[in-house]
Amino acid sequence: MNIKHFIATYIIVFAFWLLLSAHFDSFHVGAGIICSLVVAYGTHDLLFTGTGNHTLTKTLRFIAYLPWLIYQIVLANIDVAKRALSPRMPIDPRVVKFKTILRGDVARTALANSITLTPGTVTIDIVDDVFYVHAIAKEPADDLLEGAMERRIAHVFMED
Amino acid sequence: MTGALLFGTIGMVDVFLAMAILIVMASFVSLYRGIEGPGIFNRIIAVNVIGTKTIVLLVLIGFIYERPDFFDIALVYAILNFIMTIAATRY
Amino acid sequence: MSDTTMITNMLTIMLLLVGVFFMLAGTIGFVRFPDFYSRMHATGKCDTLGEGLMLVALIVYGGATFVSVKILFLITFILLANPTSTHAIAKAAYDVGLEPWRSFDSEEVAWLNTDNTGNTGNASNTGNSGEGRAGEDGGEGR
Repeated sequence: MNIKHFIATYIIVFAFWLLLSAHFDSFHVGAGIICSLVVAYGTHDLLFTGTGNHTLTKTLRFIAYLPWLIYQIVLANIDVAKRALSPRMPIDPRVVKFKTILRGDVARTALANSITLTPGTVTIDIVDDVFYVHAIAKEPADDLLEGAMERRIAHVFMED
Repeated sequence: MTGALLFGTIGMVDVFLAMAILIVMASFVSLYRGIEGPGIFNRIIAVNVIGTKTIVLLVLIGFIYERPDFFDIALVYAILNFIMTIAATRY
Repeated sequence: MSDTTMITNMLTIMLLLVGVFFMLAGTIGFVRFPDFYSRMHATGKCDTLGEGLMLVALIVYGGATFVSVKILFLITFILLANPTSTHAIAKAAYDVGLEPWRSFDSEEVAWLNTDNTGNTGNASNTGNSGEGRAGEDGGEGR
């Protein structure tokens, strides 16, 4: 049992308790202390699994990545809304697969979720390092295969 | 000024009510796909969509009736909806 | 009614309207699209952004309180969970062997694309990607 992880988990869980309960009398805070102890004891080895070095840099880079992601999400929604509302319904779905250069699990998860949220593509499956992606038309698939997003994620997780 | 008059007579609660009605209508449209849609996966996804709409509906209800309990319910509902979808897709 | 509340209310209503528009568009797409995987596009994206915008509108309306913190957690959770569940459903359907719907004129384009694709071996367009998987009930509903 790693005492450092236990204390960190305890502080995080207790902060969540205070934020969500928003009562600061002795009963609620006392119950929070006890409950947080139990939960932290049960889960302290789940929260910090395999965090490597450069965690701070990665976090900062991920925060810097978020605005671009939100911009892409807005573009994706306008795209889908246009396709759904236009009478001709210009869709031409296809499944595309490509090999990724990313190695870490977190990086691959981030790439999969980003693909799902950006215009015209949804991740279907990941087998080892091959992504199966469903694209709604030809152009989004071509954009994806250029790999701009993959390079951004690789930059975020320091794998380039 | 028409805007002030508008907000003086209508009020934000009515706006929230209109939004809630629109969300309920969207849920019913999704329910069509849940009943009709061929195959089990269309039904799973319809349940997921209606669940996510319900989260916003719960938060709106919390603002309309000014009862903060509903936000906790919405949070728990979001987690339950996610777990239910994952569990349903495992089998 | 002061000016600040007025601006806040206007912003709230605008965000709510945009959010509900995206949500309705996503629902229409969900009902109209011809196959299961295309419906995933409509639900996975439009619901995420529609809800995000509506909840942001309610944060703007509520101001800096504990309720807003809760809604912020809700937004974060939805942003993480909605693509993940979309991906889980798509993976389950793909494993069962549900084949994607193709429009009629796209088959030749796909083959052409495979032949002279620039990045070799990296980007093969799989028109018959259901191959090698259990495809016994591919007709079970697009």
